[in-house]
Amino acid sequence: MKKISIILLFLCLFGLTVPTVFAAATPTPTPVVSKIEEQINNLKDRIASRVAQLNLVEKRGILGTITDISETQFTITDMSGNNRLVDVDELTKFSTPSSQKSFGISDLSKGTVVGVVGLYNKDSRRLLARFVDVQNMPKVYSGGILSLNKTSFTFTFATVKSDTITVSVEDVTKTLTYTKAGGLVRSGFSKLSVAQRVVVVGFPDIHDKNTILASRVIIFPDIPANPKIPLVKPEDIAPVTSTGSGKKLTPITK
Amino acid sequence: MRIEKIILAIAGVFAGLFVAGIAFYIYQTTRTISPSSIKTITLQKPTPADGSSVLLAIDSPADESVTTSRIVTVSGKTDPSATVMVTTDTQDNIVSPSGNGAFSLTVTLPVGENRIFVTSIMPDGTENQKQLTVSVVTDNF
Repeated sequence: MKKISIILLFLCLFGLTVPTVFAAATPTPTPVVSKIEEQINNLKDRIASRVAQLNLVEKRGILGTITDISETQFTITDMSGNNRLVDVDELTKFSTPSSQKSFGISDLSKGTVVGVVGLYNKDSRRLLARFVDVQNMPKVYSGGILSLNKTSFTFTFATVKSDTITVSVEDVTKTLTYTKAGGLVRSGFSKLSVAQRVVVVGFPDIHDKNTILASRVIIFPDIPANPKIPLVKPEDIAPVTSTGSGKKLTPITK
Repeated sequence: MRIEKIILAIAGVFAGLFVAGIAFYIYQTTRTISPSSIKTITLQKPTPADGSSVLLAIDSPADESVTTSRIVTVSGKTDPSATVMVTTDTQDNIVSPSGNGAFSLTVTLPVGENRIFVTSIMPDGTENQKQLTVSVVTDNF
C-alpha cells in the first residue's frame, strides 16, 4: 500500500513538472507580438531621447552688456559679472525702444545693454536667443545723504561702494517716505535731511555722468544709513556761534 | 505522545516570549536617564551668504526665469526684525517679514526682461541685496 502511494505521488509530481519544462523550453513563435514589442521599444527610446533633450534645454532670460559681437553670436556680461554666450538664428526677433524700424544683430554694438530670452542649453551653456531687446534701464542706488542743496533741488549721497552721486530731484520725481507705522506715503524734497537713508531710482544725466535724474526717491527716516557708509551725522556738526561783534567763534576741535 | 510534545514546545515558546515582553516593558518604563548623559543639540541659524551679515534667501521667483504671467510672487526668508524692500524698474514695495522671517508679496511686471531688487534692511542699517532677472513673455517659443 505504502509503495503504491509513493509511486502515485512520484507520478503525479512528474506529470506536473514535465509539461511545464517542455513548454518553457520550446516557446511558440509569435511574429506579430515581437513586431509590436519592437515598435514599443523603439517608441520608448524616442521618448527617452526627447525627455533627455527637454531636460537639457530650458527657457531663460538674461540681462547684460554686450562685450563681443559677430554675425551669428554675441557675448554679454550679465548682472553678476559672468560672460554669457548668445547664439542668434533666423527665428530671433530684435527690438529697440528708440526705433520702430527693422532692427537686427548688425545694429547692436559693444556696450549696449540688452535683454535676451531664449533656450538655454545646460550642456553647452549657450543661450539660443528668441527675443533680443535693447534696454534702457534705470539705475537703482541705496545710500545715505551727504549734503543738500535746497535752491537747486539736488542732493549728494554716498553708497556702500564709496560712490558719491549727485541726485537731481525733478518735477516728475516721485518722492516717498517709508515708516513702519505709516507705511509708504508720498513725500517731498523738504523731508530730506543729511545722513538719512535713501533709495534712488533714476537715469544718468547725459550732460553729467555723476548726476542722476531721479524718477523715484524713497526716504527711510526710521532706519539709519548703512554703517559702512562714512556719513557726517547732523549732531556732529557743531553750530558756529556769533559773538555779537561780527566776529565768529569757531569751535575747538580735538 | 508526539503531538503532545509539539504542543508543549509551542506553548513554551509563547510563554517565553510573553515573559520576555513583560520584562522589556518593565525595564523601559522604570529606567531613569541621568542629566549628565543628556546631550543638548543647538541648531544654529543659517549663515548669510555674499559676505553680508544679514540673512536673505529668495524662494521665488528663480533668477533668469521666464514666465507668461505679469503678476509675479516674490517670497523668501530673512531676519524677522528686518524691513524688506522689493524694487522693480517701475514700482517699489516694502513689507515687514512674519515672526519666522518669511515674506511674500506680488509685483506686476511689464512684458520683457525685468530686474527685481530685493533688499533686506536691518534696524541698525546693515543690509543685504539680491538682484533677480525675470522675463515676461507672451509669445510661445
